[in-house]
Amino acid sequence: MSEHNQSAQHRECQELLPWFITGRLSEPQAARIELHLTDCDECKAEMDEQVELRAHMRREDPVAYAPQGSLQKLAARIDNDGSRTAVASPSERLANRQSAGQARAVRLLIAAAIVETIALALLVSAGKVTWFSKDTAAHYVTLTSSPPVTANGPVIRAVFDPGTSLAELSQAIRSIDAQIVAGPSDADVYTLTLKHGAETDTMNVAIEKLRSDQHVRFAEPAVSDFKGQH
Amino acid sequence: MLRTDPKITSGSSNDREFALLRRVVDRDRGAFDELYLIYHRRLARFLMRLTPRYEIAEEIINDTLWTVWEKASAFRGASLVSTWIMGIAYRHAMRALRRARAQGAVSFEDEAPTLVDVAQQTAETREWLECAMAELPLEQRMVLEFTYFLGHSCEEISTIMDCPVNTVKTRMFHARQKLKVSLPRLGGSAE
Repeated sequence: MSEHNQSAQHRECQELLPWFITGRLSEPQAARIELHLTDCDECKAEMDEQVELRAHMRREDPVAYAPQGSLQKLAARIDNDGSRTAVASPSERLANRQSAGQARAVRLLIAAAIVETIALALLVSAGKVTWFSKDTAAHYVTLTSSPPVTANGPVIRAVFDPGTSLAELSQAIRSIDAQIVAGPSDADVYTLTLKHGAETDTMNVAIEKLRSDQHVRFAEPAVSDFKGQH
Repeated sequence: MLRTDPKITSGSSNDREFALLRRVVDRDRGAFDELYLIYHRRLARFLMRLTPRYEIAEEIINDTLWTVWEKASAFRGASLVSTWIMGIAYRHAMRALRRARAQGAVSFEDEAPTLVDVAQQTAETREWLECAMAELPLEQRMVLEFTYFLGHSCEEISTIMDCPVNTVKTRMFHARQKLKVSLPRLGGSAE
């Protein structure tokens, strides 16, 4: 074997020894190294040293790291990021928003109540909702008007009994497959749209169903020219 | 002798992770949790070799899996799932560890080394080793860990660290040279 070949193979061996030791070389590479090692004391000694270095590094610590707490932190981060998804198509995002809108509306009701006054907080903890003060309604309007929803066209105006709990309110709205797009107004009126279509027949059926709910005082069709007002 | 580590190159474990990632694209939280548990274990073991502080490791792990959650749809299967995720982890780790080093939070000299119940000589060697490795430039340390601790190939490491294969080899070579200088003779401390 020529000097040139020796030294080229020696250099290659010196470079690739770590991956020869871990078995991560291609077959031709590994075969060349193996052959060179039979002939080179220096590389053989280096290999023995690296084998030992690797063994020291791989000595397993008995400590295990419990993942649940860390996972919970990350889960909270994902949840707080909201229903924003990186991959939903525009129509998927709209569908997500419409189905999440109802749940979000109820969450916003809760948030507004808790944030506003102690009296409201007490009433929420007692399981009842009362009519919002004018100030609360103003904040609530801001919350529900973002993101802007398409409420131009047929809507339902509904008023609920003062003793209605949040759970009862959302149940009534869910039962007709509707969502809150505005409200409560100063007159405690909620504006609803149906999730699946706004044809007259569909609207009438929904309104009848709503009226049959014991918590609903008033439910009427209307046409909205929604401009952030209601 | 020393042949291929099946855990690294197993087709079936990559298939499993790929299937989980596919479900993560569809926002399947159960699949994400499963993927998280797999990588938490792998990354925690690895990162706790680079820092004594779990909160730093946790930050890196969570930043990594957050990126996986956000960017799952970007993965096309051109590499192993593990290569892709380790690449993400590497970027987050380098950022966090550089910051921690600057704040003096990573030096093992500040921490009393935990000696497991081993022969005294091996324990002392390990202590020397940990100090010497903590002194290495981070990129060189990373190549060493990716190679010997995690068992990645040279090509995989070049993908993970986003550098040429020759750079990987050079970094490994320099790391070995530095350890030779710092360490007492390794040979002779029998396991």
